[in-house]
Amino acid sequence: MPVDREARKGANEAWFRGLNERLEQRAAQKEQSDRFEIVCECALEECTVRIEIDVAEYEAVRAGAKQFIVAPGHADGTLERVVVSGPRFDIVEKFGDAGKIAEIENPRNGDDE
Amino acid sequence: MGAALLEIGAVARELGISPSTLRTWERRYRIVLPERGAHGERLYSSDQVQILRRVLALTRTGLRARAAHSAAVGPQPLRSARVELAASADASQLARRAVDEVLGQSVSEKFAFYVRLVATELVQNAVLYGSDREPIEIELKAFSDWVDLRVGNAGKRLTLKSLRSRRRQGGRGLEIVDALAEAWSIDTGPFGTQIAVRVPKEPD
Repeated sequence: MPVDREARKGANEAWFRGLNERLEQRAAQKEQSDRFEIVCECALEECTVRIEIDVAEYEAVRAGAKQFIVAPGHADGTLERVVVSGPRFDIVEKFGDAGKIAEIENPRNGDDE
Repeated sequence: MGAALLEIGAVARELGISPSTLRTWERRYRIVLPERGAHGERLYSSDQVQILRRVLALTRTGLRARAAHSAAVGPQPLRSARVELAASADASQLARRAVDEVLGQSVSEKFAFYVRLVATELVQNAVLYGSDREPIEIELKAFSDWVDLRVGNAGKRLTLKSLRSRRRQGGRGLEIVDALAEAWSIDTGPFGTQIAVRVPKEPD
């Protein structure tokens, strides 16, 4: 259970990621397009920004347990660094406690490599 | 409110049982507690008569009165709240606070996070598409394994098709709700829209 502020931010991002995993599954079921919409995985619970992303892009980010997708400018330097920056979204990588939470809460834990 | 209340004799006749049976159910099993009139007489609402009708039907299948009552009224929420919010920019924040007040410390932070997210989506939709002159009504019911959330707003009819097309123009859809809910429904008409959502403690 997250107790401090940084851990709480890390948990928020991990839970947004959990939601995005479901959004991806639903998009896959509809099979309408390679591109679908996710929510910004930034630390701010109140963030309501949507991000359009291709399935291949999404899967590439999910290959790393500490990687998250945030709207441009939404990275929080206290718990993550931007590793890829683009017009639609940035890819960030967690460090410290947020990185540990990201690994623990990874919904793909146990997936076959 | 304002609906006709029936006295015990009328209820008994309608159900085909004796008034003493109704009094016994009330005294022993707390099945339906009617209001009292000016002279102490029992006064039953139409909802209470409906419950009694279901209880009676279930007892005729062999259930004891207490069990029939439990089955008739369904699970009761552990906690509930009903709030009205002005259709303003801070409505989502107030909705999240209402969720926290109902859920308290009784659920995981993750589950509370998802319920707040659903409440935010519904309230933002209500602010975007509903009337800005009428309040947004939120009803929250926390059960042991799920939360029922209902958000209602006045305004024009809002269909799923219009939600989708408005989302393309920068509005919001209900994908998040769809992803987190076990079930949801939309009831819309010329006077407003009600969206009811059930969020299970462990979605999917």
